[in-house]
Amino acid sequence: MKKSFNFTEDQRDYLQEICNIGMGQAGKSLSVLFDQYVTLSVPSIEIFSAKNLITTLKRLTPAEEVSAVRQGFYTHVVDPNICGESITIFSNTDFVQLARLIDLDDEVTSEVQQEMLLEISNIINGACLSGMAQQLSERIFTTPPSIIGQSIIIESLLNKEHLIWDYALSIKIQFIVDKHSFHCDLFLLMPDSSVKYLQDVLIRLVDKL
Amino acid sequence: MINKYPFTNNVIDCLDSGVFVIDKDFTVHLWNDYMAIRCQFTSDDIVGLNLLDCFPNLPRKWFERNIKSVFILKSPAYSSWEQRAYLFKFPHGRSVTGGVDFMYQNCCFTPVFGQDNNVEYICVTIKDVTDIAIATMKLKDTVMELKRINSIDGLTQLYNRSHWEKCFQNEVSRVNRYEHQVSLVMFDMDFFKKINDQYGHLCGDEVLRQVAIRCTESLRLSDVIGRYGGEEFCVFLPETDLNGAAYIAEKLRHIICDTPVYYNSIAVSISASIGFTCSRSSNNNHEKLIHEADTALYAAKNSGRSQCVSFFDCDV
Repeated sequence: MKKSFNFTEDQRDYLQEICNIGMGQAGKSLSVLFDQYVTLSVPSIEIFSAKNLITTLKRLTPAEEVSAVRQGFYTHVVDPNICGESITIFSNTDFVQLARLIDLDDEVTSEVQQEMLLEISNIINGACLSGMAQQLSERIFTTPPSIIGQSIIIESLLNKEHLIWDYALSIKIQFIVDKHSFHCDLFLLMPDSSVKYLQDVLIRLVDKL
Repeated sequence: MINKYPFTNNVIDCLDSGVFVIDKDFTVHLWNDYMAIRCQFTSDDIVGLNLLDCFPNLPRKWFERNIKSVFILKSPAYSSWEQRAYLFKFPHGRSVTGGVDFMYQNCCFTPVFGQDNNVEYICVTIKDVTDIAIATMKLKDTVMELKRINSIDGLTQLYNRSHWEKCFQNEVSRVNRYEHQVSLVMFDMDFFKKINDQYGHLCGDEVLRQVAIRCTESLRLSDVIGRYGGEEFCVFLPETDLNGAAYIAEKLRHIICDTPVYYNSIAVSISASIGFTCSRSSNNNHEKLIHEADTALYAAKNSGRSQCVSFFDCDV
């Protein structure tokens, strides 16, 4: 973790707890949505400099090719407490299984695959962010999701020169439905000010304990 | 629905986007003018009716799934034109200039909360993105066409030198990595300047075109041919040893010189000098291989033209 944002162990635990609760709610919602029991793994979280995103990504996802969806989020448009961009990364996705999961009977064309990626990441992102928002007593809005790339190599995921975010909070999620296991990685990229705000909230929450 | 401001409905009718509100049973509660003037339902007609009954062509399952997700997750769902061109097949004003007869749409399904903080309604907005869609698709086509033009030689329609070299370079690194083989054949038309001088440059162009066609037809699908420059051509042959290369080189020489090229009913006799080489077991370099084939080609020229020479038979 970065020296300028030295999260204490308590703060990290609290953040982990917030994510756990958020994920728990997400899992419950997904179960109802898919009419199947959905288990979400306990998310493993990490905060790192956004510059190291690609390196971290390569460590977290061993797959050579990934598909990725981006989506913006913010509490306010002007001077937001929390804002940023989430990136959901899918690796080795079994689209036929995924289609069965969302009860799709269309032919799985490239457009249908993209739509599934958008739908699933919007759902996971929405569930995760609204869970977090609730814990932080904020209301978080999102922009429509869009595809960054489908079956692309990790290096071509981001344009490093144009990266405006300072920090990334990575939340590794695995969701298991019935006997099928899917996994994706959710990265919340945030500017300095948002991570600072997040830390301030954590400090307050930890103090209340 | 409780209306906070008496004029809200008027404002909704002023919007340059489709707006309507449904509940979880798909019963329509609000329908703005934008929607009304694009389909056969006015607000009075459709409010109180089931949306899916009124529009049987809507992707029912998709719609049900997304509506359900908004109600359960309390967060918006979206549909983008890039994956799904439209939800409602509305006409569009660009049928003449745009070449499309329907409106591309981005749609957003937003939860409308009741007093108990549960989702009571869903507000659907429909944005016309036809202009963006047409421009984006044109841009994609143009980029693809530019990529094609950038890699093709206009006269012969073969790969141009830079693109062919890139392909060859990739092939050589693949050969080194997996310890495979590749052969390289380079040939040059004999006395080409004479053809240009005697019959004109248009005839010379026709000769190059015919040679390109003949070679392409006689090569295997995996062989990659390019125009190296002027009247010089290059072919790399994946998974081919020196004997195979000698066979292909001789075959090319024959299909080039056995039949004259006809230009304005004049038979123009042509021939080519050919040099070829083959990769070694390791440390191959694409530039070195090109240089070897070139050396063999000049040896063929110097020994009287219209013949094939292996680099391994050259004195270097």
